[in-house]
Amino acid sequence: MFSGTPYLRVSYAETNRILPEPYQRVLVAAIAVAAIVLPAFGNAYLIYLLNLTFLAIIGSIGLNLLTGYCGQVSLGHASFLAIGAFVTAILANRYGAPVWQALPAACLVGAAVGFVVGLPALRFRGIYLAITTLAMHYAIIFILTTYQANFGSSATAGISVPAPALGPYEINGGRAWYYALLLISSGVVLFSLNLSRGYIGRAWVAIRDRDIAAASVGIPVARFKLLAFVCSATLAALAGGLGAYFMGVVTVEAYTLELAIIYLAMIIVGGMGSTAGAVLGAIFMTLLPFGIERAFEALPHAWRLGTTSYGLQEAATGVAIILFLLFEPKGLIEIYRRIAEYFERWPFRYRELQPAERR
Amino acid sequence: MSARGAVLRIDNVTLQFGGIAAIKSVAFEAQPSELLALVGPNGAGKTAMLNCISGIYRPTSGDILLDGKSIIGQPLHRMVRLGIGRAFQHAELFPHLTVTENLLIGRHTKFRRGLWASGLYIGSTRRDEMNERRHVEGIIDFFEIYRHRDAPVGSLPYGVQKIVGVARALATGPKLLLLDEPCTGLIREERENLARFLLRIRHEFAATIIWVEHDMQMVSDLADRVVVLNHGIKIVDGLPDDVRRSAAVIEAYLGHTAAGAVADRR
Repeated sequence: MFSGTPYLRVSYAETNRILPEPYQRVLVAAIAVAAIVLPAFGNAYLIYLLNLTFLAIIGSIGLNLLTGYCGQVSLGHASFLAIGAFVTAILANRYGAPVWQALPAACLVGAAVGFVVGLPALRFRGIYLAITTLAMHYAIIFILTTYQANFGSSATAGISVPAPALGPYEINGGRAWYYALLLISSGVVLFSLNLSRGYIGRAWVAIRDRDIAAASVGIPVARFKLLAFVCSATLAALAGGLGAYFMGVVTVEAYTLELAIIYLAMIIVGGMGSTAGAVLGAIFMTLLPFGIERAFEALPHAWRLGTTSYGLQEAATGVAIILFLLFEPKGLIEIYRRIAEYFERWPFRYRELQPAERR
Repeated sequence: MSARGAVLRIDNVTLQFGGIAAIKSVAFEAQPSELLALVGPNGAGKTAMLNCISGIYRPTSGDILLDGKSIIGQPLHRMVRLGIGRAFQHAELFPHLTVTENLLIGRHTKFRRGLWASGLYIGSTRRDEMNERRHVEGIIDFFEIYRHRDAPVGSLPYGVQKIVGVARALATGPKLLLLDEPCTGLIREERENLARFLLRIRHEFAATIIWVEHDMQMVSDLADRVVVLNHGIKIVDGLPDDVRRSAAVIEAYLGHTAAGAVADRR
């Protein structure tokens, strides 16, 4: 992407790096070191929150491939997560499948469902496509609800999932999960960044911006739309399956339409069509409710609010998102870009020409 | 004219929208490395003809042959592999991407397939990326748009966007290049540059060009041959000077009485 950097590029390889500038490499290395040593200092609650964030990152990256890059609005993301969670839970609980079988199987089923849900995208666009994915969401949730009702002793008990084990090592406890999820979500981020800088990412963006022009330069639009649905659903199923192991229990009630909208909010707040934006959005949307809860606890006389407090907290979350989008419609990634641009030229300042000054 | 050797043969193509015929039984040919101008007043069916050739419309009847093989009914994206590149009247670029990225999208069919190789950035992915970038730099040099290389095309002046549109079509490596009014909206200097590029494309890339144009002066100066459409019918097909003197063409552009007046003055 264009950033107006004053740096010189001397080879094609340099123009195609994920992190073209030295300061970006330093920044990412610093974040990596901080992420690795953090469990030594953080308390269990913080690590739990970060684990939730990692799961959200995997899911939001999946949605960003489909909605951010390829421009296909999907309200079916929660149902893809549910598919992953249920396939994992059923295989692990009923058939005693180990994690290295259950998770790939969940991803495969997710890919297949994504393919089917993607078929209407060959005919519909925009809001019409969103409605067909909504219909798919309810169909999938209905099937899973029926399954859950007939599965256990009670309809709402859900399916318990044993802790995952790789050979003798059992992943249990916050810190083990932290490192496992850090590794997996980093891999997903890298995969998404590689796709976005290669021909597949460019083809998706071309389809999003002008589909007829995309076809006229030889991009098989139908195939790439389906590929986006399959990739997105696979990553969602991966996030769902990991979430099932992490929570230890799967209930269909967790996968509401609201969850699908929260995932959409993540990529919008982070900045559509940017992998880093999807990561920032996932962090923001996961931590914001907890932050607001803390803020309410800190209020004097908070106890007087009683149970209304929960409603107020949700309202405050909504207001925070609206305010954020009003003042920063291009998302969190735009804040980063502005800061980066400022320091690239520091100590000189660059001022955009105002329309009146253009001749 | 012989059918042998023709790159493109339009064989009695008719295109109807409901009861209205946009193109009525038009036939012509394009020879290898020929700069063939397609002219006519507004609504004559020029763009409709390009849309038929590039697969956006399917003709109601008739046939379109590329190197002797029918291309009717091929999906739009197959046309690039068959060797047809298309530049649109309004450029139709990908506005958020840079000039380089737009041209790399033009090279789409040259990349080897593979989700895993691309996602893991292994195998031929890196080599393809470097090779295509090098190729795209060659095209950027050819069209002299180096200074816009890393600018998002949405922010560029209209004239530059149209050049990038032609560059993207050329990046697909076509043997038949379809240009829809590439000069419209360009200032004089840009037109002169484009005229130079057209002649160079024909010589250096050995591409056949079908060029829809309104500027008759430019057409007479550059085109090898001219096909004139009016109300969906081909009225003349010939050398630029002959076409310019044709009574039917003058009538189509200026009307019946005016055509008589021009003839009188001669």
